[in-house]
Amino acid sequence: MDRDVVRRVLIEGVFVVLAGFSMGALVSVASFADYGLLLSLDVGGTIIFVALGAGIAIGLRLRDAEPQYLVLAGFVGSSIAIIIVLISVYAPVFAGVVAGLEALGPSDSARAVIIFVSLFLIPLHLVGCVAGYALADFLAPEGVRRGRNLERL
Amino acid sequence: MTWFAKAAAIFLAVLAVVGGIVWVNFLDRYIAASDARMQIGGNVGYQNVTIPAVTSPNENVTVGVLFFLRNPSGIAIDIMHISYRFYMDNLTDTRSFAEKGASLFVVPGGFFPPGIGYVVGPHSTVSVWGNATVFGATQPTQLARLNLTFGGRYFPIIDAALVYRVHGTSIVERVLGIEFATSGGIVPFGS
Repeated sequence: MDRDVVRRVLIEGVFVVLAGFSMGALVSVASFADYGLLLSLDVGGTIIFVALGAGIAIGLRLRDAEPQYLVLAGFVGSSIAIIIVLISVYAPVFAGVVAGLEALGPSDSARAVIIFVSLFLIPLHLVGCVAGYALADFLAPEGVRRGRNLERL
Repeated sequence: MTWFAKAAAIFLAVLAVVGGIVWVNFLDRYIAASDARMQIGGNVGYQNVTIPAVTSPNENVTVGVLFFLRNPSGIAIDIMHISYRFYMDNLTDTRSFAEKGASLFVVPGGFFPPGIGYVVGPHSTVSVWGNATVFGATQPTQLARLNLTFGGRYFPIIDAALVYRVHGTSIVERVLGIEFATSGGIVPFGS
């Protein structure tokens, strides 16, 4: 494989991971507002704006890539975010503080809601990626855009 | 690289840094709060119970109950209150406590700190007094129940409950069934 292609894939892969990590981290923080954290965020707003924002950023960066790689990047990023949310929900179990989350009280439905709501990151992030992709094409200098340049009237 | 690709890179980096900082803060508090919730119930109990001798039927008698609370977690907790029901056992009544409890009840009491509560720091232990007073002039029945000794000793039974909040959060927990009973009795305080 061409060294430049590999280098480009690795660089954009880092940004996809950053996007996924930031989405997962901020959604987790928003979901556990009871714990008096540094940031107090609204869950719905966080999911929408962080997913769209990160998606647009990925779309802007992958202007030169084929559309299927854009969709792949979107799925990978949102999957990383969901994994971060799952790690956050089960953090006391992984830390060895509790044997199971049931010991913290009967709130299984609340935890299930947090995980279910985080699934909305997938479509929102994909929409953001596509929007960013289109925006990048619009912002690109003339002569570098994909497709036909419209003739001036 | 185009200007918007650079802007997107900076945006993602900043978002990841901010997200990382708040996420680590959240994990720290969530794990510490869960640790506190798991361990507090087994780290609260009685350190001392003082009951003065009753010398006249009209006197006011104050019972002192000293609770200890050990906080082994890494996050502070706020004691919102400790409330208890104080009974004096009648050793001649061999019924179970559930059957005879109503006839043994003397007075409710507790520790009710002002404000947000009594803060117990991480990895620390505190002792707090929760007193209860029987007013002999207006509560002759309760005073008579209190003034019941066997071999010169009191045999109190105390059933307490603790309500606490994990400091800086809206997590409130209750610990029920903090019980005290003695087989050897307690010498009247001051005698």
